[in-house]
Amino acid sequence: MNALRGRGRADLARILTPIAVLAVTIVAAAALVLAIGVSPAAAGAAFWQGTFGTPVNFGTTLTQAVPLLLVALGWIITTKAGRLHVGFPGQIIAGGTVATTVGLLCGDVPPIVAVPLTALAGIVGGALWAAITAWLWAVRGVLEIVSSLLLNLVAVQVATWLIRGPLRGSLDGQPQSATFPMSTLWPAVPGIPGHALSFDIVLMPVCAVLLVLMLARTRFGFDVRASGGNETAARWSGIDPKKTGVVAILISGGFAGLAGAALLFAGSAPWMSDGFEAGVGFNGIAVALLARNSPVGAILAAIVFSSLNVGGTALQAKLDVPSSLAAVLQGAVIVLVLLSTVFVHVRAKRSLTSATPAPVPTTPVREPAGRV
Amino acid sequence: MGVFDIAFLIATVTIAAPILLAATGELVSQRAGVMNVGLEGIMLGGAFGGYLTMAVTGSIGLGFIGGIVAGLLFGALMAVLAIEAKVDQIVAGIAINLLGFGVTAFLNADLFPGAESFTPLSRVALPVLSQIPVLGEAIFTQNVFVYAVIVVVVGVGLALNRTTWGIGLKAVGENPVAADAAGVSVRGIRWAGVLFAGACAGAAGAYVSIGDVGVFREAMVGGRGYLALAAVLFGGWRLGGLLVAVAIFAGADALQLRLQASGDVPPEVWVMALVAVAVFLIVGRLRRRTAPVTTVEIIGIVAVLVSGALALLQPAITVPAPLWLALPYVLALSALAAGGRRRHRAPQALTIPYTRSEA
Repeated sequence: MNALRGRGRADLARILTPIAVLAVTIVAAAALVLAIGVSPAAAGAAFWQGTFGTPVNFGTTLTQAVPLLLVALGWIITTKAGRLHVGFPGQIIAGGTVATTVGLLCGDVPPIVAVPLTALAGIVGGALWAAITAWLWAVRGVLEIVSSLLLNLVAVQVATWLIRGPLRGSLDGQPQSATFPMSTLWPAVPGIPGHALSFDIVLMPVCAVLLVLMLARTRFGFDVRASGGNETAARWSGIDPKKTGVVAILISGGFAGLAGAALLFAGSAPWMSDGFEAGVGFNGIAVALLARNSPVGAILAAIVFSSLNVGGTALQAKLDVPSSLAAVLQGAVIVLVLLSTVFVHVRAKRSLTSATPAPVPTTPVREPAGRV
Repeated sequence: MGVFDIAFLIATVTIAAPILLAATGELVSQRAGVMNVGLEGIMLGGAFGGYLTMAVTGSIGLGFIGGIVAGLLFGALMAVLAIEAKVDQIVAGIAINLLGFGVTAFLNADLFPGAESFTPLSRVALPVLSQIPVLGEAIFTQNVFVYAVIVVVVGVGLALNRTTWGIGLKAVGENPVAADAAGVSVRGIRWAGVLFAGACAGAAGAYVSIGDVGVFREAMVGGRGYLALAAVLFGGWRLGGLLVAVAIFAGADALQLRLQASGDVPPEVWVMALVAVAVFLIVGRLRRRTAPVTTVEIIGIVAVLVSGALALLQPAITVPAPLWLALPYVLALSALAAGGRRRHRAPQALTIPYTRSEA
């Protein structure tokens, strides 16, 4: 009886937490905007107009949520497998680069073939870049978080070189690739001008549901959850946590690479330039956190984050509010989510059992190659 | 030796100083069991804090204090998240990176619509010491910040290995249960470690903005925080290893700066690569004389042969600037891959929050 009530309260907390976090974020945003001398009401109106107010802006917000969600799904699967890598920016760039290369070669191919090809190229590129992290972790024992951080920095430089060298378009020496052929651009809803609402938004429910089903209903999904839950127990029941971890990292790289392709072929500018990644790699992690690693909840969280980005740009254009306001709020959201998780946990624990004691290390349980 | 002259050494030391300071702070924090991935964001905070304080007061000394205060603030946030709230330290670090970037960029755009610039730190030649050939010019004719970094690194080395406090700190990172039973305050030591790392990263960030160039730009730390983090891991959580790692990163960066200007890669770069890889191989072999030949050694031998051939043939190879910029990171990755498992003598309780069992 008591446990049931506790369960109900925990569920309520699960729903209320994101709402409370959003409320605090909105108050913080109002305070920041007020501090630089802009009326919060005017900013709120401009924000609404810029994100959901017109069909074009609404379409942009939804379309820009797609890459964020894909990265979030990548983060969810790796964390479920007990791995933590932060190589999404690099994998987005790698996926986008491979997709660009394939897309530029697909000028004479009909769209029905060209569009899936660019998406596939993105997935392959992202997974290949992630494969370096996976190999370094599984074979060489390098922490995936460190190798992926460094690979991000390498990817940025390699992409900078490519669009000034081999991939550079002929157009007046700008550091950007040639314009993608029309046939490779991902289709958009025809009624809305400027390609604003791309059909790739169907990827959001499809990928999220696929991931849920895979985690809950397949053998690999079980392996993932077992490896992430308790590595030793997983090994005793015949699961290879290393293999599972490698596959999870590769899948997450594929998601990030697809996000890279989506940023380019469903984005506003049909060419690859410096900084097309635009912070999506790290913001996607924040999206997953806000949704508390729920793939379906991440759809909503992605739309919220995308509206922060789109709205931030609108605020800069209309009221001269620095667009980095979006980054401040996104960082604040993660901190608040982390703190609220603790708060909910403490409440739940108090109503059920006492706090778990610290594990007493005896012999080193973790093998040296594992995450420290 | 052409590229590897005194100017190269001076550049290496100047580039190394902020990375070394941030890495030393991070080492202390990690030995206490808290991994702070948010180093980049904290350094940005320090860079802007220093810039802001200097714009208000006009004093570079107060500017550095401003940078340290900003670093302490971010460090305190990290400590609250990691030690008090016991959340995932890596996720907390990502949040601090985002916040550090966002807050500094936002405030910079708001407070400094037109960028201001200040005179950076000037070089001070130390009496007597600066007369030593080569070293005198490279190390003892630097700015005050470089000397301060040397003092901090030596101090941390002594504190970690020669004081009760240092032993307590390492015990907290290895086995907090035992340390707690022995009467060491796990919470207090971890707070001290995280705050020290924050102060170091803040000062290093202030050097990047007001100490080195005298301006602030968005995201100007440019990956130095990540390099510092990599240096701690590559250095095997030891101060000596950390020094070697930072020297490699900074040397690669300085080399890249020198070579961007010149077109072809000069042959002495290949000689240098040959010597470096050969030394690495020989040292590794001497440690494990009887062990069978490993893949890393085979790759190393191939690298020696290739660089030897390149040094002899001297082909005209130009490497574009962005790829030179990627060089330190690629080196760091190769070093981690080559060091691999052996390097992972991580503190046992790293990233694991501590909860007292009787609570």
